[in-house]
Amino acid sequence: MTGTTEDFDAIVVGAGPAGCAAAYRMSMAGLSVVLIERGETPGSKNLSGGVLYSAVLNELIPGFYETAPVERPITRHTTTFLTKEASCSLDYRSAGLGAPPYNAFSVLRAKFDEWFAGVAEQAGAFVMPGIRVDEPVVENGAVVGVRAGDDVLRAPVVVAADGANSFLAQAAGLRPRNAPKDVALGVKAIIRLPRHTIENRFGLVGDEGAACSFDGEVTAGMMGGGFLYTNIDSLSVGLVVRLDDLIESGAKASQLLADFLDHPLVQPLLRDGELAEYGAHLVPESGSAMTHRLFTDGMVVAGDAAGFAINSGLVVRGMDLAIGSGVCAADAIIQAKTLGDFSAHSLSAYQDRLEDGFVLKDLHTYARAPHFLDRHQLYSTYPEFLTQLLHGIFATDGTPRQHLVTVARRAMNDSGLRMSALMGDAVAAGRSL
Amino acid sequence: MNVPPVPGLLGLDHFEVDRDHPHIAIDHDVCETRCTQRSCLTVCPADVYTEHEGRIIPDTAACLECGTCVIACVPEALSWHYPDGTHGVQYRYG
Repeated sequence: MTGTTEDFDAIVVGAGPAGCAAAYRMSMAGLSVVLIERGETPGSKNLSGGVLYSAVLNELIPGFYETAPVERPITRHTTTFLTKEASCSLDYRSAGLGAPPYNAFSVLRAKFDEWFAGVAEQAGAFVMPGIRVDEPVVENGAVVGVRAGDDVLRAPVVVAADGANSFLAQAAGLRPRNAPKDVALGVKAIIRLPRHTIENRFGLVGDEGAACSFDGEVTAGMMGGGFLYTNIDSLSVGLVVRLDDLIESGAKASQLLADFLDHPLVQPLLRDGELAEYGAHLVPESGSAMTHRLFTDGMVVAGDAAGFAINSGLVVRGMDLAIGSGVCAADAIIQAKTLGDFSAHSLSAYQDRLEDGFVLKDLHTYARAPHFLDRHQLYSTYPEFLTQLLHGIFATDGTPRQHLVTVARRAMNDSGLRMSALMGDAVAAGRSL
Repeated sequence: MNVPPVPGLLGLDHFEVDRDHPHIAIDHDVCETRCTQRSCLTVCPADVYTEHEGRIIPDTAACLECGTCVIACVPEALSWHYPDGTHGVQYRYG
């Protein structure tokens, strides 16, 4: 299929949340859209390390959760600080989060992305799975299509929603190749368990779900953390560690995962589970998006490809930002089509829409989070301090009890935490998170 | 939970192997003259890279396509692209 005439109004590369949202929105507006996906089915190459914060999807497709293959609405969020043998958790639960329109869902991407691409297809998008796009076709400085093997598809605009590596955005000159500090490596296991076991073990009622994050021992002092999400009849358990730290340490992510799953305080949550899948995926570091150009003549970049991810230390977000950016890309392209102008100047409306909406506002709000989280005491000293403090409070060994201040002072000494550092980190946390 | 070593983990996954078109190629001259770290041996979550008599050999069949090696590797030493459409890893859960 080669020609100089345009085959579609828009080409979307990558049928993840960003690409599906863009294709759906443009198709609904009457544009002819092709959605190209390299996996044999949409979702088969994708892996999530977060939960889907769903307000943006519910705005795009009201009541989507009635038909989408979501796993569980999240009603319980926990954050646990782990040391080798102790833990200390924050546990937030709210029954309100379990009622429509819900707040967040656990999802399995092989199912979810396939559904989302199907919704785009029903809206009129032409979905082409099993096709690897090799490069953008550039003429006179403008992207005019994509090449896949011997085939060229032409359109006045291409949405690069091709994931964290985005070879398309790189080839179009929008961003350099990733450096190790720009990404984190996520590794994850799927562990099957009967649904009633999951509900009993995590204190869940019916379909409710839990999202658990872990800091400290999980990453052996490196920047990153662990996660555990309850699906209907499985758990998604994994960890994310920043690539520069991982390279420098020489540690293996697969071994960190094995140690995490075997941790004496994590192991009981997984007991009698059956390993069903192992996967790995890169995650953009929050903040990397600030340095990328998001559009050029004939191309916009959305989702992970644009570096849209937030890790505040407590909340990990990517899919909602992907959907939000896909919607902004679609709206900018719909506008560009009415103007008949797909130049960078016209497509800069994409950036405006991102800045007016929640995507870039949230990324700006958390822009300092990576800098804050790049404090190694967060992954070693604080978990040690907190668990020693609580040990001092709860463990009675027959010796006389001490006042809380004395216990805290001893825990600080034992963990090597200094008051000046604590104050500095507290102020920085307040400003960054 | 007792987790098997990497080959056992990869055995859980489904791969559609493209034996005729390996998607990873190493320029051994660049690899052996410019790289001192050999990070590929540790950062790859699928243990794709192993060393045989001083030479890095990739086993492309069970690659999870994350792209970590490309970022960790010295420029020009590694030619890495996604496998052809429909080939490679196929997550059933994700």
